[in-house]
This record gives sequence, C-alpha cells and structure tokens, in this order.
Amino acid sequence: MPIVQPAGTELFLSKQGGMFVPVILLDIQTLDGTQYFWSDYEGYYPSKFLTGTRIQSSGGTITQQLAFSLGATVAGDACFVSIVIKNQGASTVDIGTNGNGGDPSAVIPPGMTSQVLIRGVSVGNLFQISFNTSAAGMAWDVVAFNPIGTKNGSANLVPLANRTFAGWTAVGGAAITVTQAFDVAPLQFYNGWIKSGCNFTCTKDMSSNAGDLLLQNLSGNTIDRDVALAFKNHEFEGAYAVTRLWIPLLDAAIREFHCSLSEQNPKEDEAGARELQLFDPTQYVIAGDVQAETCTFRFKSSQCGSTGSATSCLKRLIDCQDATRLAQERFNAIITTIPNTVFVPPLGGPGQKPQRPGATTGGPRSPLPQL
Amino acid sequence: MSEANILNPTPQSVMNPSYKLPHKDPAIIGRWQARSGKAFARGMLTRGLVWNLHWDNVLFSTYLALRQWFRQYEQDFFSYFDIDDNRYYSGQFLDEPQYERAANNQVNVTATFVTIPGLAQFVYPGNWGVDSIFLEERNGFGSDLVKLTGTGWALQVLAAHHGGQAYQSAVTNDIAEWKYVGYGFRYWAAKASTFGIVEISLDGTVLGTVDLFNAATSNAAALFTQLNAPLGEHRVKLRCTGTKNAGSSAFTVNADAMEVMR
Repeated sequence: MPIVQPAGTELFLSKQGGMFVPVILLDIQTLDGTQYFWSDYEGYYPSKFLTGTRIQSSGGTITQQLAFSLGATVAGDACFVSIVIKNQGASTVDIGTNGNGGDPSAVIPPGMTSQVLIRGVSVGNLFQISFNTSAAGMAWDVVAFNPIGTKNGSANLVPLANRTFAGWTAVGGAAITVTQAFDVAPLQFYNGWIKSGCNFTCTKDMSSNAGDLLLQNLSGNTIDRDVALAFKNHEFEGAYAVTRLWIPLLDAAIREFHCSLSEQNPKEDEAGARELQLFDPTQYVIAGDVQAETCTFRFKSSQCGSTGSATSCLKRLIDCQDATRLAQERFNAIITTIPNTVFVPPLGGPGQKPQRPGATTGGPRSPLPQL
Repeated sequence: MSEANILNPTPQSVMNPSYKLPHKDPAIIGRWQARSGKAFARGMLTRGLVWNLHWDNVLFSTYLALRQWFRQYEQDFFSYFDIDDNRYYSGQFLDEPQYERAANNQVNVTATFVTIPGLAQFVYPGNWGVDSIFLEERNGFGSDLVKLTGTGWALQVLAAHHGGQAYQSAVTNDIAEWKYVGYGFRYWAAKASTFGIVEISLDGTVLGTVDLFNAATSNAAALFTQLNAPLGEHRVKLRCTGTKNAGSSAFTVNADAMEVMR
C-alpha cells in the first residue's frame, strides 16, 4: 500500500507535540467514472484525482472559442453542466451549454474562481460545454478542471480522456493553448459526509490492510438520501478510493491509502463500506455467479465492455460477436458442457463392476465390511 | 369510533389529571454534523407525544375508572383532551395505572398516555401558524427538500413565491413530492396569468386540483388545505396536469411550500 509523506513531515510533527488534527479526505472514482469527494471536515482541498488545466485562447472570429459536444438532445431532456474555473486572465469568460433551454450560461469575471453549476431543460439542440467571450477574438486565460455534463441523470458524458480538455474543439479560428497539470489548480469542495474512516491496520506483509468507511445517510431531499442514491445509481463495488490524512497546518497529507471499495452497506441513518487495499486480492469480495450458457453481465456495463450500437443483448455468444456489440473477449458464459468430459462417473465403464472403497491394484486387499 | 371516546371531555371532568403535567416530544428527526460543515437532518420516525399523567388525592373510584379505561383500550385507543392546547390526541395508556393510598378513600394515581400514529382524531389539529411548520422547496443550505420527477422543473426566483423562490414546470405529469411527519398540510403557492392547474394527492390518493391562474400576480397563499390526516409519515404530491384556466397563457405549476401540521 503506497504511503506518501511529504519531506520533513515526520520531523515537523514530532516537534508539534500533537498540535495538529488530521482531516480525512476521500477521493472516489466509481467504475462508471463518476467522482466523489468526501471529508469529515467540510471544505475546499486539493483533489488527488484532478489537476487544473490551463487554457489560453486568442483570436477567432466569433464569441464561442472552445467547445466539447455531449451529443444530441431532444426537447425536454434535463441537462446539467458542472465545471470548476479560475479566471486568471483580463477578460470575462462565459461557460455555455447550447443544448439547454435558452442556453443558460455562467459568467466568470477576471480573478474569480467558481464552481459553475448549470441546470436546464433542452429545447432539442446539440448539448455541449463551451467557453465563450463577450466579444469575438478576445483573449482569455483560465485554469479549469473536472468538466461534467449529464443528461437526464446519466453518468458524466465527458469521456475520461477528455476531462483534461484534450480533444476539445477550437471554434471560429481561435488559437487555443492547453497546458496540462498546471500547478495552480483550483480546489475541490469535499462534502462533510464522513463519520469515520481511515482506520487502516498496517501490517508488515501488507496482507490485512483494510479500513472501514462510515458515512452519514441523512442528507438529500425529504424522500431520497444522497448517499443511498449514489450507491444505487453508480457502481461502487470495486470503485477506486484514495484516503488521505490531511494536515491543514502543513497543507499536505501525512498518510495516503489507495483502496477499492466493497461491501457497501446503507442503513437508515448511515452508510458503510469496506476499503480494501489494492495489493491483496484475497480480500476482494466477488459476488457469486452462476455457470450458464448465457452471459451474466449487464449489457454495456463496465464488465460487459460493449460500446456497440445495439440497445439490447440476448446474452448469447452469437449476439456478443455481432458487429453491433463486439465484446466477445469478455463473454463469461460456458458455451457448451459435453457430458462425461468434465466429471468422472462414479461407476466404472460399461460392463465393469463398481470399485469397492479401498480396492487397489495389487497387494493385499482390505477386508470387505460384513453386510 | 374509538376517537369519540374521550377520557376527559370537559374541564369539569373528574378524569382531568392534576398539574403539573410533564410531557415529552419524542425525537423524530435524525441529525448529524461533520466536525466542520453543514448539519444534515431527516425525518426518521413517527412517534407521538407522551404524557406522564397523575391524579392527586382523588377518590378510589377514579382509579377504578382509569383502570377500566386502560383495560378497555389495551387493544384499542381513545382520545385525551389537552385542555390548555385545545387539542385532542388519539392513543392509549402505556401501562396499568398505578396508585398509592394518600388518605381515607383517596389515592394518588399515575399513568402514561402515548399518542399513537395512524389513528383517526376526534378533532384534527388546525392551529395553523402555531403548531405547523413550513417545508420549502429547498432548505436554507441550498439542498432540495422536494423530490422532482420529470424534465420540466426549474428553480424560479420571484418575490411572490413563498420564501422568494419555487420550482416550476409546465410539462404534463411532472411531479414534485415531499415527505413529512405530522398531521394535515396546506399547499402554498403564488398565482399568475401564466399558471395552470395542479393536482394534489396525499399518500397516493388524489385530493383535488388547484387552479393557479390569476390575471395579476398574487403572493403565495394557502390555496389548498387537507386537515383530516392522522399522525404519520405522509407523502404529498403535486402533479402538473397540463391543463389550465381559459384565461391562462401557459400550464406552469409551482412546487413552492407545504405547511405541515405537527
């Protein structure tokens, strides 16, 4: 289990006489790419997952300068966009959505850092996240991270590869410069949901390191609970979780545990999960599965892996091999079991007598039991 | 009609308990707060008020009557009249009334009365503005209190709305739903020339519709009242009907605020 300690931390802490209180920071990425940031001390901290991307632009013939398409919409689709922006240039930047009804947008003046949240209802346009300026060709300079776009409560429509703004489209002839891992990344807001966590047992052979995570399960609207809803909507089993003990005094982490989540357990007022260390596969809990001639994976799930155009699957190999699915390398069914090729029959072959227990070839035989 | 059987129907009844009358509001809200940050709370339980009643220096026959009430309604319920609050509560004695002899033919009696959810009331509470609380569309921390289903909901900031903002939708069959613990409720909303007709249901039963049209925009007011609801966990639902007054120019309905009786 990787443990990261900033240089000089131990020496510094040893001289503080306990004058520090670590904050638990938990960064989670579920199997469908959704990210969560939780803490036991609500606030803004540097994220483990995300570094800011610096984007600079100049020139261009229209106000829209950089965009990423999230696909078509139909009228009535509920669209949501979130992105964190630090405007370090001299001109205003406007985040647009296009597909939302009336194209609601958010304006970030120079010098402001903002977590942009835009909700709207589509009028049927193309759904996209775009960087706009107030006048055509105006130069701008921002640090941005964590672009999220969802439609009707879907997972993030921005693919992982494009969340660093790589592959975005320059519009109207604008000259775009993208600098990755820019060192003044804006901070991420960590929800104060953690009741306890980070109780890892560190053994010498790293075979039993695991922790228990306990979250509140009260927040949400009067009907749905936030945590339970997240567990319900996303694949937390096996989700990648990084737990850090963060010292605000130092602005650094003194412990860092990389884990996978398992055994989620939402209860009435709290929810728990087990944090299994990445190095010990014996602690992975694999759900029981059946041996069948049809695949047991949910179609288009991460385990299935199909990205084809088909909208349903009959779960047979022939369906999996079809050009509209093409995920046969992950097909998990046992296609055919030929009788007697796997199991040895309890009796001998045709015309042979059953072997008595203890019978061996040659040598003295054990006496048969008296009947 | 057990709720019509009132232990102490009048101020003159010999069954009125003696003062002082300690009573307990059971905790029905689950709360938690991180070491730093917002507090989280949620209605978790449905429990009614509990009174530790006592009758001091009453005739032994009063004890016998109380014992009879306990035995009669051990598997049933009756009403207790809180004279000071002018409210009736449906419930039963938790255990057998206990007594001690205080003097010749005089006893001190104690008994615990518990309000039980889900029972009919002799008179449903209607002291709005005193015993009621408001559930807005969002709480003060910015989190939704109402569950929105459908694609048309959007938050509108307008002084006429209760609390200055409300969710609005004009999409047919869009639903806004609150859950609360208490008795009846009142639906609060503004009226305007672009508003349509909203349908209101409680625990799956449609109660009626409200026409939100008004030629001039009017401030939020109690537009629909449901008094007769027993103590319990209730779901009140608003549905955009996609219908409107002939004078209205749109079908918009408001998920603004619910005033619920506790």
